[in-house]
Amino acid sequence: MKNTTKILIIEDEEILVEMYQDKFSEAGFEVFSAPNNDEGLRLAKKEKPDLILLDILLPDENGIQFLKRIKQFPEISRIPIIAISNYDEIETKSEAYNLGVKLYLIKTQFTPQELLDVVKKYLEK
Amino acid sequence: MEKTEKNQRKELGRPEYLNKNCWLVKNLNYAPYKRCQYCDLKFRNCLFLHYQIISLILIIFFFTLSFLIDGRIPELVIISVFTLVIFYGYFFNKSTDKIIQANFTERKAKEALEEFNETLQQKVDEQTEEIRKAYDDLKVLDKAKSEFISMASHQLRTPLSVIKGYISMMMEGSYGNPPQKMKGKLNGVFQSSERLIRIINDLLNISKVELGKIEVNKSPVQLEELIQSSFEEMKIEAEKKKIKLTFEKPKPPLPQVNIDQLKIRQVILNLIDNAIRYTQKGKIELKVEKVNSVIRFSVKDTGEGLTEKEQKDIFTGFVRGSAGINYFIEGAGLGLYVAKKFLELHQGKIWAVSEGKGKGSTFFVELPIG
Repeated sequence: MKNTTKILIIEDEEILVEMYQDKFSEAGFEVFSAPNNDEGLRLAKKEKPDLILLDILLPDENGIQFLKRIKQFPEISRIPIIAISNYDEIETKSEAYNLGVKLYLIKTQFTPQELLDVVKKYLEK
Repeated sequence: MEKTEKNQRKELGRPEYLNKNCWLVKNLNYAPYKRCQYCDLKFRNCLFLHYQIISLILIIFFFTLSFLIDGRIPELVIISVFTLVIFYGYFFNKSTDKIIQANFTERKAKEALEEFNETLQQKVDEQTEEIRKAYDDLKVLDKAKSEFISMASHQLRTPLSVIKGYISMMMEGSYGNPPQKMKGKLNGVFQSSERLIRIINDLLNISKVELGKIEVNKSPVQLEELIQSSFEEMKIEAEKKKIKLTFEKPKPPLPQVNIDQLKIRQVILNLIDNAIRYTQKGKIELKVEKVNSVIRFSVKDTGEGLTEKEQKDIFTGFVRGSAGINYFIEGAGLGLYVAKKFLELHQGKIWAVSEGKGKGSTFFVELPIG
């Protein structure tokens, strides 16, 4: 049963979640989603996903905070995280990289298929 | 006429000069290089002083002479010498009058000029201060503008990623295979969203450049490869307008350039995109070659062309060639401004050449090798 790859998407924009969910389910991934950091952490602990797609501009607490918080939980702190955001300011980007994100992608530059390809390629490594 | 001259004299304060305020009153403080504080002549040029010295010499000379000859100084000698001195004084007065007056006028004028300069300086200072304040205000406003553009562009990106994402998935058949006819339309929507994203990226880049927040990640790149991939991407656009877009990869490969691939790619795409938009029929030729120590890329079109003024203006933000207005072609005219800024970050150059309206134009980009 461990064959399915689990992906956690932390993103507040429902329609985007739905879109990525469609794409990743289609490709055979098991997809979970959370609209904020708290829910994201809870799901991460519960489901232990293989990869987390993290939005940076979130309503209450931004994705950078999530990156800091997840470090406190050894059981999930090693899950690879790819940031997907439309916010591309150098400071935020470098902060995210310093906090250990594997990639920082700009949403508009990627179609869901392209994002899927990136994720697949990453997981193959 | 005479009256006014007199008045003038009074105004000039000549009596003051010759009277108690003259240097002679304090004549012991004399030094030949100093200037008389009243008529501004150096003392060694002071005619009044010359007169005094000459008079003194005359008196001493004649008195000594008569004393040597006669053993005494006769009254006649005394009277004649003093008469001589007085006569000399009279003529001296006549001849120096004009000089002194002119000199005095000059001094007054100088003073007036100085005073005027001072008030002028004061006014200039005040105005400079005002301008500086206005400039500071403007800078704050400009920063606010850039920040606003930055925020707005980020906001715009979210719905756009939804549009682009869903359209691409529909085209890929994630929601059932679309009929052939619909595929073409979906592609049209997809291309439009791509263009909109490009415009927003331009806007974001401008705000970044203006806020000094641009990041450059350089790596060695084969420029012709970058052009090739941009060429493939834009070929479809050109074909839609029935414009022939050509590119011949140079053989053997050119030396590499150290560039931020994403940024230079954007410049290349912008140039080709512009050429397609501003050309109604004909062809667009892409060329890349090594010229001395630089790699030169050019985009030559048979479009509207540019006037000499436009060739310069076109690289400033929010300006477009007049063709843009004639044909009502979309685009905010930001691409070239961004391109220029990006090339500055690479110690490169961008410029446009055109023989005039209706004669097409060529855009050149130069990047240093290595």
